[in-house]
Amino acid sequence: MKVLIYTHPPDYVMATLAARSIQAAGAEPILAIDAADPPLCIEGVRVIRTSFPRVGNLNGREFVLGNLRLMHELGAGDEWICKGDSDTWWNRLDWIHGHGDVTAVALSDPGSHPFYGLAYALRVDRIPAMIALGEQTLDAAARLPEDITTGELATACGGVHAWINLHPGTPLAAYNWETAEDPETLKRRYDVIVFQRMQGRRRRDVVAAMKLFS
Amino acid sequence: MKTFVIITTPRARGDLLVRMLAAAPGCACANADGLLKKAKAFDDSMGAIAVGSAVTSAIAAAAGSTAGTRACGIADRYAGHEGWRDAVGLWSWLLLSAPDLHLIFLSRDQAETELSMEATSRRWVPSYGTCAGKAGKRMIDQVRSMEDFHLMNPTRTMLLDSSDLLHFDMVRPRLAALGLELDRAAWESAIALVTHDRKTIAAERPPHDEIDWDLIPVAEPVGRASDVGPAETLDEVAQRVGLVPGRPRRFVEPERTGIPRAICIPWLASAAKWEELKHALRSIDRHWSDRECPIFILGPERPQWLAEDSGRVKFIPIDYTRGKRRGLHEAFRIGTTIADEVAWWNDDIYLLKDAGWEDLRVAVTEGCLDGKVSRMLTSPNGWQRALGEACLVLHHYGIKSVMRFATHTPYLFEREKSLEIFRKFRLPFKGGWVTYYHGWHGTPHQPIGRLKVNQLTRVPAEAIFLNHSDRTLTAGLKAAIAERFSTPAPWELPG
Repeated sequence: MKVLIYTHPPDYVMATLAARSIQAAGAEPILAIDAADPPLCIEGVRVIRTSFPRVGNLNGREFVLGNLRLMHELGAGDEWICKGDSDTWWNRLDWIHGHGDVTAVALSDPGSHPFYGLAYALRVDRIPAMIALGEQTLDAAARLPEDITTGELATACGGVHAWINLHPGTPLAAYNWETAEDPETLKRRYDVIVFQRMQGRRRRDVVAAMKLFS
Repeated sequence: MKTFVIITTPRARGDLLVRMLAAAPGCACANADGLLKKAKAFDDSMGAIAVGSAVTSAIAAAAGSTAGTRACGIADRYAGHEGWRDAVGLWSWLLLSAPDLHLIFLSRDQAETELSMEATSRRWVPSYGTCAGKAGKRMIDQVRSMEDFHLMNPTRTMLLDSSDLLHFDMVRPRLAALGLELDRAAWESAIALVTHDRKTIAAERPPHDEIDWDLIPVAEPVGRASDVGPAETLDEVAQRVGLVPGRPRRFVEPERTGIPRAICIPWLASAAKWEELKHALRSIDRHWSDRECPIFILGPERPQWLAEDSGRVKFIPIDYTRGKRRGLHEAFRIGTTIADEVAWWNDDIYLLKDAGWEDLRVAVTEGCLDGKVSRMLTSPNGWQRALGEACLVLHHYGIKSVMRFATHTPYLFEREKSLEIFRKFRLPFKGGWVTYYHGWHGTPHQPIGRLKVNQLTRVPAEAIFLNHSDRTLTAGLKAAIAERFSTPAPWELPG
């Protein structure tokens, strides 16, 4: 199984750590850089370039459809393909399996954010239907955040198993900077951990925290 | 053939590593500053990543490899001048274009004393040889970029710092991990040149035992209510700012005049708001115990009320044509060295009771500056910024805690100590002088307490000095000063 991460130069170090964790979890990481970015070399990690517009932090019809086409292409031969973020740490892949015939598995905040982009899995053979639906329905002028839009397409094309954010049994979680738990405990508890730089943390903080898990 | 590229931060002793490897058997190595950027620019213009053989061939040629060469490499400067994006682009390009190539990142040991600035810095002064070197933010960023790229490519890159090079047992196995064989003879021949370089650095700092360190207290920062919140320590600010002291200004050392003691007052007629100087001098005439010492007024023009035969009060013209700050600096340099001991006065300082030289021997302070340096450095006020820089420079030279000696009271300067300050420090044209002087010389000091007042309505018994600013020189205060010092001094013109 492959895990696709869109990254850019400031996030290369955390993307490297994320990729190493994905390898340790038993999947193949693929880092996607933008066509305008400088070349990137990371030992043992496949790096590809994408040319569809990212519109900031992964938004817009072009990006949603471009991402789905790329995931379909990269996932050929596998049952599932995942998308992750640069600031995620992957301990296991167990969270993906055992949820019936759904099209996607993802973390969800039903009230505010029904489908998070930090880590989700798509069933590869359902992706063409999502692309077809997206081509028909997505507005080229709308902002369309990648994660929410992809979640809506997946919901319409077979359904989503939503792991509810902050629910006791949910195996995906944001790293709590105040936690007294040691990394080993958190690694046992969660399959995927995200470090959420956007919540006021500097990249150096994220990298330092991710290193605690390696 | 093994190929490597050494990427160096400034003053990391890249030359030394090149010498070592160039002298190693079967290895060719040379400096090739700028080669990588040029090669990448060419490659970019072609729109593709170069084939490996082209890059390795260029490196081999620049290194001067021959038929018997088993390993070759070049040293180039850190190339990420625009930041991480540039660096990661260039280094990735190198690794992608030549799959067998290795990168050696060489940085200056951040704890290392300055070793090589005599060769690389135009601002070098010999005393740097005895200073703890400080790594600037830019260099720290460069080292972080190297560490980050090493994390991304752990087997194709290596991190070295300049201190590793000085120990054969340290550097040999590190280079061997990349397949580069360094023998002791090659290392010794290269290191011998470093030893020679180091010997050329002459220490200028006074012997440690000549500084009375016990007189430099480690004081608690004094803060106001508005200062709440964690303040950076002087150490932290110094690490972050990475200031390197400037070369002292050139000046002609004045001959000793033989005058044992003098009072010096800089004065600029255009800056006077009132007859401050006349009344300050009257207070000296009434209360200063030494009635023989000359009083020098230093400025661009003589006070109009000063008599032709002014006795102990003498006027020294100062060139202010290049600006007020330069003029004041010139007055300070001349005034503080005109006698063996000088009381440096200002026209807005008045004596309120009898006092003399002994009252100035213990300097007075207004708290510790350590927790305020960060704010001073970013102040819109140039005087404050100069004071903040003074703290950092003193820290650079080993002073761990700096007091605020700028108290708007008379300062006692000793000629020889003043000269040492002029020889050692690049004094700003305005601000920080007294901090350099007392901070460096470790002058005994005490909190100013109630020694100074800024009004005459309620004067505590301990108060010796009255000092006002332009803003606080109200009509009421003028009247009170004029009444208190109504008796003309002998040097005034009648009327």
